[in-house]
Amino acid sequence: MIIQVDPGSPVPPYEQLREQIATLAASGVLSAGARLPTVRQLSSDLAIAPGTVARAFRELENDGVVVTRGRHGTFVAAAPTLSSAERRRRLAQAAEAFAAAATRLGVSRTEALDAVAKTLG
Amino acid sequence: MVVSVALAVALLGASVFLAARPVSRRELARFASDHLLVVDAGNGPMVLRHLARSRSARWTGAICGCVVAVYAGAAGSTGRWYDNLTVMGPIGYFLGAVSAAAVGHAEAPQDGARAATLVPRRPRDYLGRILRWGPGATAAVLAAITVITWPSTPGRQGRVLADAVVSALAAAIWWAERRIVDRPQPMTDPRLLAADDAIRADLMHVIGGAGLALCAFIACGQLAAIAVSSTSTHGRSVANATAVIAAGLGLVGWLARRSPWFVRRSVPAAAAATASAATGSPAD
Repeated sequence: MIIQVDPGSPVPPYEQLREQIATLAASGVLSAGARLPTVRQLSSDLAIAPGTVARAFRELENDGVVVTRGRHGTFVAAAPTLSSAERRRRLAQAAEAFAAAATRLGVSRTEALDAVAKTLG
Repeated sequence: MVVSVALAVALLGASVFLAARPVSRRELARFASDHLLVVDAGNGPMVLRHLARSRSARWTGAICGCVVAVYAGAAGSTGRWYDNLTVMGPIGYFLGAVSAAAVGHAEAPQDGARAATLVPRRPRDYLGRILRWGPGATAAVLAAITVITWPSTPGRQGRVLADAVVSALAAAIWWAERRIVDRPQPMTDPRLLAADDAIRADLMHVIGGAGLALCAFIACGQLAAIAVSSTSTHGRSVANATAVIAAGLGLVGWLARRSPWFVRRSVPAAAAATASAATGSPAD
């Protein structure tokens, strides 16, 4: 369970952290109930400001990916049970983000759809 | 006076010898077996640096403590804690262990991508219950007995001072251990992680064990003084019994400072990586 932050990337460090932890939790690599390192530990290991890690954790908490149990620490939340309407809304949001990225890259519709199909397996 | 100076010079000479002596194969093998660590070309230099630095810092501290005691004795001090070799030696050893932990840890690179593991580090990964809770419990018990025997014992000022010293020592041990747990671990290779964890466990054992021994021996002396001076039979028997327990706890702490410890958060992954490197199959 390795996490990486590239300070040279145009993506802000807190977003890099948020995305990687969310992906690890969604894929099951980080199981529900798994404890995450403290803000201080992660910030010292990655040599980034504690506020950056705290912001990533806060956003993950808002998304329901992690839960904070006071001084006991931050834990991966159990997978949320979403209504079908909410699931459709989030899928549409993700599709919009992907479509925007594909347009920016200038790839054709077929290439973009192929990439999605390949990722889904 | 001449004998004292000669002794101090001899002790400092021994300190220089200990600091300069290279780490032997036996020391390295003992460290590896104590922590179930596979030492290889990747993590070997890190382990060797730690062994050389921590050994020289501990023994230089102990020898400096002894030199101070010898010097105080030569200057005419008698019956004080700072002219006692058996007190100043362990104090110097403990301070040396703390100074060894304060330097030489890995720092994250300032440019390029940085990586870290998402497995949290906790004090209990590196230290057993007795060494984690022992110093605090000793300070609490000593304070409680001081309060219980307060009306029946004279010399209260010295007693409060000893309580304060033990409490401050317990707090310093806790702080030093937290600093070791929280210091950066900017590596992702399982074998480097295992070596770094073994080094942390070793540092924390030495600080926790020597610190517990110091707390317990100070408490033991204090409790023995309460037992001797107490006018209450009940207070005397409680102080006697706890003094014996404190002496035992001090001995346990001193012996546990070099006890084997297996860090569960990283050693199995390192063993798997080593095995897969040996067979040529990729590690997960």
